[in-house]
Amino acid sequence: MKSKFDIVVDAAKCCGCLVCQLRCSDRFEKEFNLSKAKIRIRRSTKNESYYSIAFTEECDACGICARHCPYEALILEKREVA
Amino acid sequence: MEVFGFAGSILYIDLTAGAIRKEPLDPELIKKFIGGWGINHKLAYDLIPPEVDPYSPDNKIILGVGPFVGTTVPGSSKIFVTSKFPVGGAFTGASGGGALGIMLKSSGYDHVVISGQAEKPVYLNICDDDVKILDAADLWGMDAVETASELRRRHDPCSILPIGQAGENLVKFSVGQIDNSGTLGQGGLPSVMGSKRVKAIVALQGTKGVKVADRRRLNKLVGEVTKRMMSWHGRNHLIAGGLGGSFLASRGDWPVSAKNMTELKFRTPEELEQYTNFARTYSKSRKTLACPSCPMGDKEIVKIREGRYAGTEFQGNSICSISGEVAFSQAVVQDMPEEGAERAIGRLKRELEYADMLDRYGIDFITFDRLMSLVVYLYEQGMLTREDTGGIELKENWETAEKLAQMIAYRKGRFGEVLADGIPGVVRMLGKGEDLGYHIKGVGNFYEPRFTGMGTMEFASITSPRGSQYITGSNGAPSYNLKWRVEQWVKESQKRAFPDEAIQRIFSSSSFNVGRLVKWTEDWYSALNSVSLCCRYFVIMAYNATTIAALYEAVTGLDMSEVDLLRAGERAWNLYKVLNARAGFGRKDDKPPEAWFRPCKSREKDYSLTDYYGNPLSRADVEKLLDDYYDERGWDKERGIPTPDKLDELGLEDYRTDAAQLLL
Repeated sequence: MKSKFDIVVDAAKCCGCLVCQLRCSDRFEKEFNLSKAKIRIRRSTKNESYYSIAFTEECDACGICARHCPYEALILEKREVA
Repeated sequence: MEVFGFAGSILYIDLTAGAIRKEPLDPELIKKFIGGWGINHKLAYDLIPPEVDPYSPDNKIILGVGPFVGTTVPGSSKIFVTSKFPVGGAFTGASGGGALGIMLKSSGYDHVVISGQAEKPVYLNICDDDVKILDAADLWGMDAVETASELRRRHDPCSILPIGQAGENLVKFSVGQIDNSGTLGQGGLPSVMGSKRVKAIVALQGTKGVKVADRRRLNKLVGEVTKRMMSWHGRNHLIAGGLGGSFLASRGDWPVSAKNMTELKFRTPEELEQYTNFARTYSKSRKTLACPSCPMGDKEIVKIREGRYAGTEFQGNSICSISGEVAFSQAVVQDMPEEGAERAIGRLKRELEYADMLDRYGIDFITFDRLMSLVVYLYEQGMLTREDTGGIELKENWETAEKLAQMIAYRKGRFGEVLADGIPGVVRMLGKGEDLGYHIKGVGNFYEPRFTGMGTMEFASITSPRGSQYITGSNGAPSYNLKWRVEQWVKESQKRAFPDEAIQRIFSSSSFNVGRLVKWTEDWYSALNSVSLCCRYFVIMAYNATTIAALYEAVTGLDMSEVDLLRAGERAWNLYKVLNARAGFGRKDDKPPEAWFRPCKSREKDYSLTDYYGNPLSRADVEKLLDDYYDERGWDKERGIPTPDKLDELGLEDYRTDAAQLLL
């Protein structure tokens, strides 16, 4: 089912705590597993200092990652109905 | 018996043979030691000969993580290393944050035991069952930051523990940095890695997950703890200003030490204004980084945004980058060219350069500062000459800091060789001066009880088996919070499930017995380490013993009470002590720096040693507090080590014969 939410990303606020990846894998895989998360946090290769945030194709924008992001790098916004 | 929360395996890497094997983690060890640091000590006891030279191939590097690592338990990223460290020859249980723990666990390992010595420089590459010992010829000679950057380019997503030149050249007070931000192994871990020719440990993101016993209960508990952290009144300030910013904002009126801890200097109003400007510039220039699972991120990148240095960027340990301001001499900012508005930026750049230089070499900044203060003082007093220093004039300034750091990192010249052995090296060279070095068991001492009073962090620095280490005395009630009322300390103690009868012994209506209290803070620290929980104040204040025991049950499926949790902490601490007693350590080594018994001058008055509430403490009083500490521990007072009866009581019967032998 299509999610009612959009996940708005502000990568500059990401601190690399990986809570989003842990929460995602816990929800869908019933275990904490970074490699199975549908959200991917990486150190940005362009700049050692910062992080990049990406979602796999399987992500259905359920929003569990955004609900638990402690740094407001992921925000949940209700999708406008056309 | 199925135990959840653990990866279930120990990885053994023998560098001499190039052999790699995996063995199951014995569930009986989990029951006895909870995990992480406790099991590390057990492995060290079995695998490392007590008399081993720290740089011998027979020494081992044992890494370990507890059951909370890899879960969402907030602040649970801690990894521990146990090894025989060179700075004072003690077996060290060291801890660090960052992603190394979670990455090792994602490959299926709770512990890694590294032994032997490689023929040529190598780095370890760990990913699931694919564990490689790879050639590091091209990395050897690089500093720690360059090494980490290159390895991240090759292997990301991963976590990296590199060594810099100080590790390669066997500097005894080298320290490691996990992912350029979390220190690990004060007392010489990089040099032990260097002696084994290991340039870095790289843990890639593996494919293994951590399964817990009761997800619903865990998520509920994690939600409660997270809520407490997120609503903490200081959180916004912490995230914006970092650990450094928080410290700087509250420590303007703290003095800095000078003249090898013989003087305290308070800031003049003009200096305080400059300092405040600096603190503001620092806070505005940083971005927060967090350890895995932590909503209270205190690591950082600092990028200068204004003035002539705009664009200059550093990644390092935030404590390190403020070191010159908070607790240390102001040597490194003595001769800055900037004036006026530019001065705060110039100061930030200089502070960061200082931290960055030491981080890149991999030198412990606390011991470096204490060592530099010592040799400059000896030089000024005429006890060291230009001949001794290889022709260098020693002053408390940036130029001297740069020269000494380089000499140490490369062991340059005869003086570089002496300095690289740390404060004990200088004492050995002079054949005197033992009473002038500000260290405990070779490790530079951080807090100054002549100013703060003898709180738990100051006293714990004496009793820590590995050498000066204040953190074992903090754990939610740091004694740098000056003049807490007795009731606050009692409340903190109850939160940590210290038993009522102990609380009766420790606290009076107006004071506390710091010797007795430290026994319990050490046990608490030991318990936190065994589950891998961070002990920074703003993390652990969201927990109490009941919550941690409940989390342990939810993660592992094993029963756990508050009493059992603390008991397991005590058990692990006793084993840590026996491990060191077997290597010759005892009460004779639990010595405070001699400087504590001399007055420290300031412009207004002399500061002498006092208890936490300002009552004078003599040498005899400190000895009496040590008696009380050993008594509270149930140890032999004269020798300062566990008795066979105490070990029996803790279920450590296997070690009673060794302990009995040591007490003969």
